[in-house]
Amino acid sequence: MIYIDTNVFIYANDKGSRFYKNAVSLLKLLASKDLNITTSTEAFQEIVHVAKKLKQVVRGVELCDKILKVIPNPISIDLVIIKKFLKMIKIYPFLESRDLLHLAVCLEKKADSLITEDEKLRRVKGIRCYSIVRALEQYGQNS
Amino acid sequence: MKVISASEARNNFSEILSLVAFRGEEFEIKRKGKILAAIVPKKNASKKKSEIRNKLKAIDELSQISLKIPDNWEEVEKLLSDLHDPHI
Repeated sequence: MIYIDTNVFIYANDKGSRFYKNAVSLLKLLASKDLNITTSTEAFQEIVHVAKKLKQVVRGVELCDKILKVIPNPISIDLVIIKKFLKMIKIYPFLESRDLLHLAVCLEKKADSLITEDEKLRRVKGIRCYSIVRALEQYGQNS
Repeated sequence: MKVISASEARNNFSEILSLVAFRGEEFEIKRKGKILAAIVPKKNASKKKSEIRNKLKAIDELSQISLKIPDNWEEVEKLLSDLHDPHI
């Protein structure tokens, strides 16, 4: 299972971003190879939150709808994940709570990798974290 | 989907083919720790192709929405910063 962090989806729909092309290419690569990609409910609320802040709620909701077509069964944050998340707060004090939640999902669901542009998350041990470019190399060559 | 090694697939191909064709089972074939291929019923393969097409179409559509975000992620981080703040 490959877990996609919120920032990948956000970059994949922002043409002005320097990550735009690679983020779109990565999502297409993973989908075309039928790899098991997922994200969690946390990603959706983050996208809507950012969209609301930018006063682009309609676009944010549209983006979420499209993500649901790519990932029809995102992981729900359940009690087990919440407990993991609470334990991890002490272990990774340098991470924001939303990052910890993504990480708790990955560890609890035993994700093979986490794709994120968040450098702090890439410092965590116990899970393979790839940037968008690194994931393109990894899954483009070896899968 | 059951994962089997390449040698298991080779040694039991006839049996595997029957399980796939008549019982609808699916197998992934692994070599040197990596899944390289799958044997699935023909109807499932067509369905899978259609699912992949639909996902690629959704990604194309997703890439055209153009949610205009700040240039760097740090600014987005600022937007997210109050997300889990209980005081807000």
